[in-house]
Amino acid sequence: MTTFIVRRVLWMIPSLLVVFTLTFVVVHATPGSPWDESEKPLPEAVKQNLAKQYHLDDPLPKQYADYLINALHGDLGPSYRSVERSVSEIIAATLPVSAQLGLASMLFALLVGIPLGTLAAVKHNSWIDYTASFITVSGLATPPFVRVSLLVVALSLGVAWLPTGGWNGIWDVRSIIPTLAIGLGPAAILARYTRSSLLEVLGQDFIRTARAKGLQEVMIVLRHAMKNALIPVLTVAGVTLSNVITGAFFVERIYGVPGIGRQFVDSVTGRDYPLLLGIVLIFAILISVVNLLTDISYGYADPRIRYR
Amino acid sequence: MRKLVALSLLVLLTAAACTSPTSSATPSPSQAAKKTTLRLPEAAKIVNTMDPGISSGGAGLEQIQNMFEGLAYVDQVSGEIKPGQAEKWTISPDGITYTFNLRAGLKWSDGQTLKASDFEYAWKRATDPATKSRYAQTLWPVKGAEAFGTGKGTAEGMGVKATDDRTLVVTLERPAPFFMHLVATWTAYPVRKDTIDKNAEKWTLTKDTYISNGHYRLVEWKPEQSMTVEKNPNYWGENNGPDTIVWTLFDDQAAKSPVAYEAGELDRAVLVGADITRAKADPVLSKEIKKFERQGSQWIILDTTNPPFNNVKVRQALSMATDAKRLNEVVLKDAYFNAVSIVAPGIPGQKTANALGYDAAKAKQLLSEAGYADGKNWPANVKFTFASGSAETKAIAEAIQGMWKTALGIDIVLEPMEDKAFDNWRTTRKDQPFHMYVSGWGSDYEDPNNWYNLLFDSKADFFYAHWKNPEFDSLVASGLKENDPAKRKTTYESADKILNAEAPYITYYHWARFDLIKPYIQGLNHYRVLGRIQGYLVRVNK
Repeated sequence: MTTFIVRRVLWMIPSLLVVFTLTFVVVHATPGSPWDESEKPLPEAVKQNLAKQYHLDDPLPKQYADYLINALHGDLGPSYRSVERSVSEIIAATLPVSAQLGLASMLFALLVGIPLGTLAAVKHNSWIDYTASFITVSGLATPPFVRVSLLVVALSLGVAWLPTGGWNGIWDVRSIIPTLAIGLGPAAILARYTRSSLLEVLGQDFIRTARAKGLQEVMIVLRHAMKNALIPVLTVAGVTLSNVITGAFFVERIYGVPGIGRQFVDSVTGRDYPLLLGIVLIFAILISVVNLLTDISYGYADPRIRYR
Repeated sequence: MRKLVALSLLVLLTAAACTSPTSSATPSPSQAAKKTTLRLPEAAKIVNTMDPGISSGGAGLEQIQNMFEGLAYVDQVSGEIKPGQAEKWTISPDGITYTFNLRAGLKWSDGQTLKASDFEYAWKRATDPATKSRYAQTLWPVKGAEAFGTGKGTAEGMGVKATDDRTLVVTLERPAPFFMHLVATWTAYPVRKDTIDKNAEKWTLTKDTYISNGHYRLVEWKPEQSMTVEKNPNYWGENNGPDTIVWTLFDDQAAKSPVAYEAGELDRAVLVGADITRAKADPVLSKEIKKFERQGSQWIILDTTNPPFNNVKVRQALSMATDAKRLNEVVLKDAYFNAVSIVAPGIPGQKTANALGYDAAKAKQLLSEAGYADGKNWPANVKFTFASGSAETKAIAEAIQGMWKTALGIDIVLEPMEDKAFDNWRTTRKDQPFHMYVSGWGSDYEDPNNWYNLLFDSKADFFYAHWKNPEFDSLVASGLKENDPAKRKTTYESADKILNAEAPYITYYHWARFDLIKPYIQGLNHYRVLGRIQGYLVRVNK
């Protein structure tokens, strides 16, 4: 187990380097400069001075090496567009907001998705199953940016229960709409997987044995079936984290949440290379770590899996 | 049972008796001296910082202008230059030396004395290339500033000097009749050396470090969320505006601010495109729409050295076949102001009579004289390039393509590009041929220099039309130095006539701004140049 973890952690280094190099090449191959912001162009002399001051006129290999060396020292460089905050500071300010929102959305997905899937499997081919299917298909079929807009129209403009946007910490009412908008997608995925996995398990011999012993149906489902049915769901739960991250890109932007997803979108359209590289690195690390944790958790959940 | 009811009633009454005195002792908000708040939208990226010396004047300018004041300012109703931190100034007869006398008792928002040396520091700092100013060129007419700004000179060589605490002497490179407009620009606002030395680029972030000298001062800036300012008690003059102004920062304020406005969270919303049409049809919103003029032109730039546009008759034909009135009123549902000439109205020198105007028959005749009768021999693949980010620009391009096809029988190819790719392509047009592309210009300050000299002079050639006319160049060069306003105006009018007749640009509308403003807000105005809301002029009657 330890060797497995060490090997996986070591493998993260070349993966991160590849991600970083690809991103660097792609952003520099994309035309456009970070300076033209408004509806009319900036004067040439000003742009030249800015390129010089930010070392954008250095040869690309030098820019690549400089950035990498600084990044290894924990300095992700200046943001071209936010003069007063460096890339590290922007990430430090926005990542916790997204993390809170992401956790709340994941929690929502787990608390809604798994019970919904379970209910659908136990009462399959009944009206409960069909209602659950309708909810999950709607959740899968609408992208998060559509969900957030619909929720604003319904809950803010329609019944006027919630504000139309903004952020005031996870315990404020303003976090409800973005949590729902992001969480509904993963909730739907989890519900689908729980339902099909549970249906499969419920058809197996040991369940028949349990029934034959005269156990109550609740006990059968919760004690015997769920334990086995949740193993594939665990895999999906890890993968849905990427749904949460990409969902956050647009939901944060539309609802005005000061998170890292919004910075990501902005840095692409604004050609803020250092900020974009910094966020890509953070996301790459995050996803690698979560994948590793998911793999490790298998070992505990499923005795058939052994790591060497 | 009855006893129980009586008892509970008694308890309730006692409770009410105990609570009511306390609640009336604390004055309700309406009884206290009424504090007013103005709630406005702003773009989330305070793009180029809240540092006046660095800002290029996009999002963030409104906040900077409310919190700072220069030696002079542009009156946001009349457009006149008025004394701000300086009570008066004198200009030497040769137009080279400006002497500013500061008001007595000027203070910064933290109570410290504001001195002329604060201006000297701010001007030199903004010019220093290491400051990374996005607007450094504003101060280049000052002696030695351009050399310093391009790394060929020093701060000491710059012609700005505080001779005592209340006197600032500025020497120019050459006479510049528009210089007072530059003095009123945010780049020339004073900034505090001690806070910048101590906090470096982070001085703009907190209320204790963002020391200002205008009508308002910072309370809190939550990046990408909101900014709050309050009245500055140390400002020299009166301020009868709202006590606080809160800006909510949106990633896409045109899309989000009307939603927040309708939910009662904002006092003003920004309207563009389809929302204008929707608001006009709404019984409530239609009464709250306000259209403001902006001194700007949106135009097609032609490469005057590339065939077929090296032929002036072809350029004139295209210009006269462009029905700008129909474009704005029918295609764009009156979202802008109809084009009247290349340069926007209000700039001295601009003359509507100089414009070619719309005349399809004349256009057809000119094109035939140029050898392309009814579109015969018209080269294939003449490209019309534009940034594809806005659906509106695409609709405009298609409409113009259709107008030219109908009136002149010519075909052009539309070439949309991703916004940033377009910026990049545009920059390389300096020495590479093209046919035509879409861009625009709005006044930084209301002076002919900001248009004729900066954009159209063949040495400047800001939009790379590659248009060169020696007579035009010499006229605008003499206009630049002319100190007599009447003579200056006629000189630029002659230049304007040449420019319009030669048609290197085709203006298809002048800029506008649409707002939704709540009925209890008075005095909210956007002046046609830059047009940021000045809180002290606004009244909140709620």
